[in-house]
Amino acid sequence: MEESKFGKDQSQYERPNNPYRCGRAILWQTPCNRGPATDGTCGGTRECTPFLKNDRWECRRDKRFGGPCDEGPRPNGECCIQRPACAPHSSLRIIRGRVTLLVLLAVIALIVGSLGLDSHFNGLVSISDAGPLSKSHIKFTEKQGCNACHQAHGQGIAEWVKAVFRPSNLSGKCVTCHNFGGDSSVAHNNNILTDKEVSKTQCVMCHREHSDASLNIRTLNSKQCNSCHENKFKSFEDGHPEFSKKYPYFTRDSIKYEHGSHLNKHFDNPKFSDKAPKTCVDCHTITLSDREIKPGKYETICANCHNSQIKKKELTIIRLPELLQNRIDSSKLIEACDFPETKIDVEEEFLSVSTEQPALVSAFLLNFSEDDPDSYGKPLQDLIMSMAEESTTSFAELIDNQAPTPISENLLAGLNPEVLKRAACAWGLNREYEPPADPKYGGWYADMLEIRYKPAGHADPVAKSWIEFALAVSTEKGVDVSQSRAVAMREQILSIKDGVGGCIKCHAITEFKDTKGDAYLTVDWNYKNEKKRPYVKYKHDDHVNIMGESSCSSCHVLNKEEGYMASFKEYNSINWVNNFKPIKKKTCMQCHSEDQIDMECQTCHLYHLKPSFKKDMQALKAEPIPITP
Amino acid sequence: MKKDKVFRLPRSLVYACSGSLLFILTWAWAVRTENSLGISDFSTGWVLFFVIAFLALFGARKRLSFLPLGSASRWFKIHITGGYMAVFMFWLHTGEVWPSSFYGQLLTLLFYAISISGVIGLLMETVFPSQLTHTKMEVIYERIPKELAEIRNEVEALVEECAKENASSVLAQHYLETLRWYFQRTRFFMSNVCGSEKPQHWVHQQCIILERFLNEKERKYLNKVYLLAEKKRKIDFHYSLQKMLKTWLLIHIPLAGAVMAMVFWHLIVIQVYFV
Amino acid sequence: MKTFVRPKRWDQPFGSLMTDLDVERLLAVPEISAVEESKFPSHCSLKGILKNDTRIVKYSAGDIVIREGDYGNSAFLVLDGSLKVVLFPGLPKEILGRTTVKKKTFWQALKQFWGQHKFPEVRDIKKSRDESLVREGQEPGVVRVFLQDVPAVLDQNKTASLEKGALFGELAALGRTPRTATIFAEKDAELLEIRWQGLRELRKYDQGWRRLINERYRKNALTAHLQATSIFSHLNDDDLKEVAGSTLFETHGQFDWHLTYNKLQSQDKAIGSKDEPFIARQGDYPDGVLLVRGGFARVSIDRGNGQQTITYLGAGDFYGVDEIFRAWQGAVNVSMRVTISAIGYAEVLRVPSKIIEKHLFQYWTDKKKKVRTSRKNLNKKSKRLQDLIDQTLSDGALLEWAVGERLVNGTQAMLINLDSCVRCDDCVSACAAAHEGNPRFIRHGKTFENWMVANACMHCADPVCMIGCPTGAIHRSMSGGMVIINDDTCIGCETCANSCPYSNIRMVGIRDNEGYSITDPQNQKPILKATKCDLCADQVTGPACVYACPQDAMKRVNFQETGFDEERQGF
Repeated sequence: MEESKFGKDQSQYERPNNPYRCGRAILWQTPCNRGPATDGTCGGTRECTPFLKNDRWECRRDKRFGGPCDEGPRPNGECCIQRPACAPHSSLRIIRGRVTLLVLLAVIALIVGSLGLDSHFNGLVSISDAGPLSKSHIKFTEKQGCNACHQAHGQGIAEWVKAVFRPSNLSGKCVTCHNFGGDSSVAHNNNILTDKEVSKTQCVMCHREHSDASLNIRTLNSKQCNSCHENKFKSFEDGHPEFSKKYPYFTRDSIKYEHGSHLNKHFDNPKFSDKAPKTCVDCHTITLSDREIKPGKYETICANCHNSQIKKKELTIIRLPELLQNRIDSSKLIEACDFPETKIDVEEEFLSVSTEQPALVSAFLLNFSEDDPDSYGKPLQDLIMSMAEESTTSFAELIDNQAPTPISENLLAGLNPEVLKRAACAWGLNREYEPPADPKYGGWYADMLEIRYKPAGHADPVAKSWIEFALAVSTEKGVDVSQSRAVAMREQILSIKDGVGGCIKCHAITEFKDTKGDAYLTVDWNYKNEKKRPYVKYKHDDHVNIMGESSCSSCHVLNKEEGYMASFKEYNSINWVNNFKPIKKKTCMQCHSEDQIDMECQTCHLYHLKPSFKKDMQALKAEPIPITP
Repeated sequence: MKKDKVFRLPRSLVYACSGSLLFILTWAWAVRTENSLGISDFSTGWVLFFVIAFLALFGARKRLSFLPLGSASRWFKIHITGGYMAVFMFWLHTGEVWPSSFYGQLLTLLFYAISISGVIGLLMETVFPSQLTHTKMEVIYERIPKELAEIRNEVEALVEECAKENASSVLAQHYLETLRWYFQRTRFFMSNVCGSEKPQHWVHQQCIILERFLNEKERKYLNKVYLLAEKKRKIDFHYSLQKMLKTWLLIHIPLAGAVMAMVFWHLIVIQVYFV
Repeated sequence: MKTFVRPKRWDQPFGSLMTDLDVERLLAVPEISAVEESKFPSHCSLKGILKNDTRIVKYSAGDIVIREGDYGNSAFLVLDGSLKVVLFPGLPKEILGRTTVKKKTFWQALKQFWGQHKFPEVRDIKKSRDESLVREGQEPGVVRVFLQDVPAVLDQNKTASLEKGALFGELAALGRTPRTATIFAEKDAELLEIRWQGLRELRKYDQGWRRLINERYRKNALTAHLQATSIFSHLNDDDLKEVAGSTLFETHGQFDWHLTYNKLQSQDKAIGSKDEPFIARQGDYPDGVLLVRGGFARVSIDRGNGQQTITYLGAGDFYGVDEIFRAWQGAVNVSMRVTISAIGYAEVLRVPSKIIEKHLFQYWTDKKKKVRTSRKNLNKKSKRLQDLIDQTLSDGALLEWAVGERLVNGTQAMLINLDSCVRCDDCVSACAAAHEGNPRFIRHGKTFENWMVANACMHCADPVCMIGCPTGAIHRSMSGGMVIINDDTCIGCETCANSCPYSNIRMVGIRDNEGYSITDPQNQKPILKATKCDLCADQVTGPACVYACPQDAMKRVNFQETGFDEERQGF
C-alpha cells in the first residue's frame, strides 16, 4: 500500500474480532465503507443516515468516506446512495472455529458409532480394539470377544465409570486357564524366600497382549530377571555364579557302571568288541531328550555281554554236609520215598557221602553253626526227613517264620516239590543225588549234594527275592549270633563275585534310615531319576545335533580318579565319587560367551513352576435322556 | 539504530538440547521401569500426554496475551521443540511406527497428519516472510479486494480513456479478451506458492504482444497499464502466500482438536480396560 | 440510537470549585492585574481563562507541589506562603512517593477474556458522564505527597526559595518536558495552578507574560539543564552561574515542525536533509560544546553528494567535548568531525570552549581519580563515535531512513521485522483483546528494507500531538512517560489526530451496548473519540502486541538504543 494510504482518514482499524467479512469483498468488488453489521447483515445498503434539520434532509456521510455527498438525501429521507445488500461471509477465524468443532464432533461420532457397531463388524471398526492377540489366544476369545478378559467391555457407561475406579484384574483372568505348580501371583510361582518381603507379581508385568499376532509374549530380557534377583550380574559370562559342585550328577548311580573300565578295557576285549557300543549314543538315546539322558534298558545295552554271567551265578539253599551219624529212620524214608526195597542196608560204620559244609542259607534258617557238625547234624537230617515226606512244606515254613508275611511263595517260586523229595530221598540213603540232565534252562534243581537255584536271566524274580530277603533279615551288624548268621548269609548272597545272579555286581546298595532312626539297606534295582529342577532346562538333543554324536566328551569328561567302585562299598549315597567330572561353567562358556552365542536367562532357566492347563481331558459324558411325561 | 543481527543459532540449540534431554531422560526412565518389571507405557504415556497437552494449549495462549503466561515467542519455540519431541516420544510410547488396531491406526494417522502439517507450516513460516518482503510492498490481507478493485477501476478508466482519445480499440479489445480475466481477481495462486516466475512472465507477455499494434500515445497508456498489472501481480503474490499462511492453520488446528479427542478417548480406554 | 450532547472546551473546567469571586480576587493579584483584558478575544476571555483554565490550590507545610521527573501540564503562581526548590541532585524517589500507573491484577486481566464486546468501540456513556464530575479538583480527600522531615531535607540538599508572586513550572508545561526539580511547601502555601492551555493563551495575548515566560525560560531552563548534564554536575553555584552566563541559547527549526512535516515527505530525500538548519558543520573549528535541550539534532558526515547520518542527538545529549579536549591537549588542526543539524526543531545550548577548559578540564586534572574515569569514558565515547563514523553505508541505512522520517522522535516505535513476520495479525488480535475488542494500531506503515514502522503511537520524546488539546485529555502519564488519551475527557475535536505527523491517532465513532452509534442529538453527527496505542499501561504483561508475537518479529524501540549503555549520548 502506498504511504498516502496510511492517513488517519484513509485507513481505519482492522478488527479481527469481527465475525463477518463484506460479501462484496468476497466477490472481489470494492467493499462498502461501513462493513458488515455484527449480526451478519450487510452494513452498506446505504451510505448514511440522513438527518432532518429545519425541514431539510442533510447527508450524514462520514467525512472519512468523503463527507456529505453532492446529491444529498432523497425527499423521502432516504440516502441517495443505496446498494443491494451483500451476503457477508464468516471470517476465517469463525470458519476455523467451526471446522475444529466439526472435526471434533466427527471424531466423537466415530467413537460413539464404533462402540455401537462393534459387535456387527467383529472388531474391524472397533474404536477400543488395541490390536491383534497373540496366536494362542486368538481362537478361544473369538466368540466371547473382548469380554473374555476385559470385564467392562460393552457393559454400558455405568460399568465403565466403575471400571475406572476399580483395578482391573487381568492377571486373575489368565489363571482361568493357566495353572502353575504354585501361586500364580508369586515370583516363580513358589514362595522361595519365606523370610523376605517380595512383592506380588502380575501376569501382565511380562506378558503383554495386543501386539503382533506372531510375537512371542513369553520372552524376558536378562535385565528384567536381574530386577528381582539380589545377585545381579551382567551376563552369563560376567557374573553368573559357578555351577554347583556336583553339577549335573546329583544322584548316585543305581548301577555300578564304571565307564572308564568299560571304555578303556572291556570294549577293547576281542571277546566282546563286536558287541560293544561304538559311541555314547549307542547306550544313551539322545533323540528327543532334554536334561536327563537315561541309559537304555538292560536288554538293549547290557544283555549282550552280561547275560552269560548272570546264569552262572547260582544260589545254594540246602547242601548235604558232612554228617557224623545217620539219624534218619530208614523205614520212614522207605515209606516217604516209595522205595521198592523194604529194607535198607545200613552200614555199621556211617560214612558221610558229603564232606561239605551246609549252605549258609540253611544255617541261618535252621539257626545252626555251619562249621559244627554236632550242631547241624540233627536239624539238617530232620530237614532232609521232612523234605522226603513233605517236600517243600517245612522249608517254606522256615522261610515264612522269618517274615511278618508269607514270602516263601516268592523265594521258592518255580520250585518243583519233586526236586526236594528226590534229593532228600537220595541223601537219606547217604547217597549223592544224580540229576537226570544238565540244568541249563535254569530254575530250581538238585545236584549231587545241593539244592540250587540257577537264575533264568536278568531280573530273575527269585534271585531278586532272595537278595531282598537277605537284606531284610539282616538290618544291623549285630553281635547277636543269629544276626551274624544272617549277615553271613547276606554277604554270600550279596557277594559281588559269587552272589546269586551276580545282581550285586552291578546294582548298588544304599543305606537308609527310617523314621525311628534304624538303618536299613535297599538295593537300587531301577534307574534313579535325576533330581527334579523345575526352573532349569537343557536340551541334549539340540546340542548333540549341532556338535555331533561323538561330542559327549566335550562336556562329560571321565574322572580318572580311582574310587568310583570303591565308593559303593559304603552304601552311603552322599559320599560317592562320580564316574565323570562335574561340569563347570567354563565348559558352557566354550560356546556360550559374549562374542559367540549369547545366553539370555531364559535360554537355560524357566520362570514358571510347572505350567499347565486347567482344562480337563474328559470323555464326553452322555447327556441324560430327558424324561418326557 | 544498531542493526539487529538476529543470531538464532544458540537459542535454538538450547531448546533443541533441552528437548533432547527430556526425551533421553524419559527413555531412560522407561528402560528402567521395564527392567524392573514395571509397565513403562504409563511413564512414557503420561510424559507424551503432557507434551501433547502443552502443544495444544498453545492455541489457548494465543488468545490470552494479556495474561502473564510467558511471551508468545517463547511458547512458540517450546511448541516447535515439543512438536519434534512428541514424534520421538510417540514412537517410544507405542514401540512401533504403525500399529495394527483400527483405533491405534486412527490415532497414529491423526498424529502423523498433524506433525507433518506442523513441519510444513514451520517451513512456510520460515521461507515465506522474506519472500513477501522482497516484493518491496506490503498489503493487509483483508484489504486486498479493495486494492484490486481500485486497480481494476483505474485500469478500466485508462483503457476507456485510451480508446476515446485514439479511436482505436486494440487495447480495449485486448483488455476485454485477456486482461480483464487477470484483473478480475487474484490469479496464479499455485505459481506464486511454488515461487514460479510464471505470473511475471505472463504479464510481461501480455503487454509485449500489444506493442506492435499501438501508436506512441497508446503506448503511454500501455505502460501505465503495465505498471498497474505489475502492482497487481505483487498483490497476487501477497495474497497467495498470506492465504497459505492463514489457511494452513485451518488444517493444523482442527487436527489438533481431533488428536486431543482421540487422546482423551485413549486415556478412557486405558483406564477402563487396563488399569 | 443514543444521543449525547457534543462536549465543548470548557465543559471540564480545570478547577470545579472556581467561582466568580475567586476570579475577582485573582484579578487583583499584581501579576494578573498587569494583564490587559482587552487584548483577549471574546471566546477566550481573561476571566474565562481564569475561571476555567486555572484553579486555586492550598498546600500544607511539607506538601510536595511538583516532583522532579513528572510530566506536568500546569504552571504555578505563588499567591501566598513560601516554597523551596530542591536543587541538583534532588531527592530520592522514595521520599517523593512516586506512584505508577496501576496495573491490573492477574484476575482483572483474566476478566478481560469475557470483556470483549461484540460491537466495536462500545462506551458506557452513563458511567463516563457521572465520573467526570469527580475526576479532578480540590475535593477533600485528595491525596498529596509530602515530605516527612522538612528540616532534614533542607539541611541535606541545596535549595532555593520561592516567595509570593513567583511563577514556576511553566517550562515543563510549555516545553512538554519533565519537571526539572522538586518543589515543596516550606510553610502553608496557596498557589494558583494554571494549566498550560491557559498559559498558552496568556503568553499569546499578553506581552508582559510573554516576556516574562521567555526570559525565565531562558534563565531557568538553562541552569536546570546545565546542572542535569553530567559534565557540569560537579559545579558549584557560582561556577554554574558563570557557565550559564556565558552560554548561548539557540533554537533551530520550528516548534510546530509537524505542520510542514508532511510537505517535506514528498520532496526529494537528498534535498530534504540539505535544507535542514545547520547547527555546526563538519570541518568547522569547534568553538564550544553543543547541548541539545529539546527536539532532535542529526549528526552526519559528508558523503558524496549528501550527508550520511551516523546518529542523532536528543534532549540531554551533547557533542564537542572530545574535539575541544584534543585541541586543549595541543593537537593541531582540530576540527568538527561531524555536521550537526536540526531535525525539524532543536533547542541547543552552546557553551564556549574557554568555559569548558576552565571548568571541566581543570577539574579533571585537579582530581586525579576523576580524570581517570572521566578520561576513560571520553575515550570510550570517542571510539564509539569513530565506529559510527566508520560504519558502512549499509549498516547505517536504517538509521538514515529513520532520522529522515523523523521516527527518531519516538521512544516506543513499533518496529516489525518483515523477514520474520508471518502476517498472522496476532499482534492486532492481542491489542484488541487488551482493549475490550478494539485494536489500537494498524499493521501497516512505512517500510525500509525488511523493517516496518507500523502506525502505532510511538510515545514521542517530543509529543506534538499534545500541543493543541483543549481539555488536556491527551497527556503524559505521571510516570512511565507514555502518552495516553483519557477517553472520558476527550471531546473528539481531532486536533491531536491531525497533529500527529505519523498518523498514529485515529478517531472512532463510539457505540452503546446494543451496538448503535451514539450521536449528537442536535445534528445526528456521531460522537467521536481519539484513540491510539497506550503501551498497555494498565496491563500486567506490558505491550500485548510484543508479548503476543510468536515469531519475535515485533519490538517497541527507541531508535537511539545503542546497546552499549543506557547513558545519554555525549561525545
